[in-house]
Amino acid sequence: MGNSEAVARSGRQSPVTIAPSKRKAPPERNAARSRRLIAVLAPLILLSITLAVVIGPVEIAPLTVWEIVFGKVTGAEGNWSNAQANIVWLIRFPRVLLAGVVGAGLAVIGVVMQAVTRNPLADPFLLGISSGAALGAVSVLLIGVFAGLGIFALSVGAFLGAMLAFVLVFSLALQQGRLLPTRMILAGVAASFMFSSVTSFITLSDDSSGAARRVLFWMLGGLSGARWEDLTLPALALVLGIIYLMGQSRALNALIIGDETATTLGIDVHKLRRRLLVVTSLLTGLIIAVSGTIGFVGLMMPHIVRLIVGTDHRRVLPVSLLAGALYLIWVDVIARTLFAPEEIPVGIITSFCGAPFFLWLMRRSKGAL
Amino acid sequence: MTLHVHELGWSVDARRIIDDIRLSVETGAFVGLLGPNGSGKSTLLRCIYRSLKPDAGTISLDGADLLAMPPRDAARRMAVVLQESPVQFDFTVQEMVLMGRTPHKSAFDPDTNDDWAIVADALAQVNMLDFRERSYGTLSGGEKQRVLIARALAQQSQFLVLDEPTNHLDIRYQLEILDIVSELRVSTLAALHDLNLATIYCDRLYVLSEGRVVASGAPDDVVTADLIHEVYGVRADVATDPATGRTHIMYFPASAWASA
Repeated sequence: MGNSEAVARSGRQSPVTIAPSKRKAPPERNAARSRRLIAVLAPLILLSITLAVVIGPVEIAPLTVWEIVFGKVTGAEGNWSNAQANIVWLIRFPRVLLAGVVGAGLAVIGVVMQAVTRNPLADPFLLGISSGAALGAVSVLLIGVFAGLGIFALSVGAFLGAMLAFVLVFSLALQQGRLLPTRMILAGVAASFMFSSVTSFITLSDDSSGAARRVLFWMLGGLSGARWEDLTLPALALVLGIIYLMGQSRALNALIIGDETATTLGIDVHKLRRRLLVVTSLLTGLIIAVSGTIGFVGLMMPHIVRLIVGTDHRRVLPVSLLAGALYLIWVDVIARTLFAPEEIPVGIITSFCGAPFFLWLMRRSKGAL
Repeated sequence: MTLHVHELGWSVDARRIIDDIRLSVETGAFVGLLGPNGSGKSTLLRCIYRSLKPDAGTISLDGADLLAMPPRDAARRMAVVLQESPVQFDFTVQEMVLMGRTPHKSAFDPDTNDDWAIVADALAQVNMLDFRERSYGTLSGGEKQRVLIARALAQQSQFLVLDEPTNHLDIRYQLEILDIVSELRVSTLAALHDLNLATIYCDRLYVLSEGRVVASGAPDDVVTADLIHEVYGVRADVATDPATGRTHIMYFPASAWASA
């Protein structure tokens, strides 16, 4: 139903004297800030993608990067060597884009998890969701569960692992229908250790020599060896996920205040929470299947964004998505250049930055813990 | 808009928390719900605003079955002011009030000029227009409560439910909040703590004790020394102020009673 219709109808019945349109729409500081921020972040991401592709052991000019991309997409010929084309198109470009998609996805997951749990410290890594997904992925890799699903087996395993962890942590944090924030973090940490130990056990029981190395990749999180086909599922999930979540952004605003408030504003809280749980588990699983467990992005990005644009999810969601992409693109650049030619797993750097941030946040949010 | 509650019951672990509740709110009436702590006031209100699912009885709003209504339809008809609780995530005052428009919105509907006008009017009605860019978390208890009332107003529903709207407030704010609500003349059901205030503002009272309605009617008929003693276990004198014709309740502490 159209909104003006609703206003007109209730206005006619209402003994409350509300005459719309007499007052001017007030200036909205947070909305203006968020528009400016998006206008700055979007070109900044394009620039960062270019720079991130340029930076590396083999030198490639920024303009050449886009010429190669243009050439690859349209089939046009250009003034570049085959080696350059392969480095840009097959190695660096998919990796940089994957960093962007993974960073964006983790930031969005963080936003939703914090709203659903009403806990400012919620993050897929801290609550054990990432470890659950990693366990799912490793089970597929080493034990061969879901082998019948072919190339999707890894993603399905990670998704189910994420969902299992989410449901487990959620039900452990519930007491008489209320979510206890402290218990949720503790349950998350415990679940995280439990999943990690099972993952380690599976790894050590495996005789093949490569197993430990491959599993270590999931435990630490890394983007090396990214291929174009790794991008498809997470990117698709991110696009569909953000469209669904933007549609639910008013409901998320109400949910973050409280279940009862959301109910009185006409939201079916149980249905919404179930759906958000599936959406976040799916997004987490698909991302972790390609990147491993990268921590604290989902914790840091939403908070920094909220400090600037407020809590309204219609702004927090898109701005966090862009901020997460920008952040992880650059963290990955640092990961591969800091000790070049050796690479550091991205997850080590995000944890190094994220853990102090977590402690700062813990001190700041009185009452949450 | 009228509300009829019929033989309503809710239990937890086979323990009846409220039982056989019958209650009506006529169009435009301000109805008060009284009773000591633990008498079931909040439970009854939770059933009415559908946070709890009653296991017996019916609730109808203008003849329609409230319990079977889709959540959005219910929220367009009934707005609720809950007791203020701490929020970890901060909204501005006007963002908080804008949330009242939620039940009128589909998935991707933007905020229209009408929405902002409704928000501004609602804030003006509770005297909070100058605070609209302020952060909700920095407000005092009375200011927060007024913002929550503004949110309910922005919902533009014909029925208002309030759960102890004046709890923890100074007397000045208690009077202010009840003034605002009673001047709206929308059908209102409010759980109240203060018997004096209830007799001043309400058109009709229901008194709950141990989950049952033990008295109902016009305030002067309901609030008597006998009832106060029976329900609250407190001695009191109920008198009429000759100047205003209003009911006044004076309480006698047990110690004073003993020494008298």
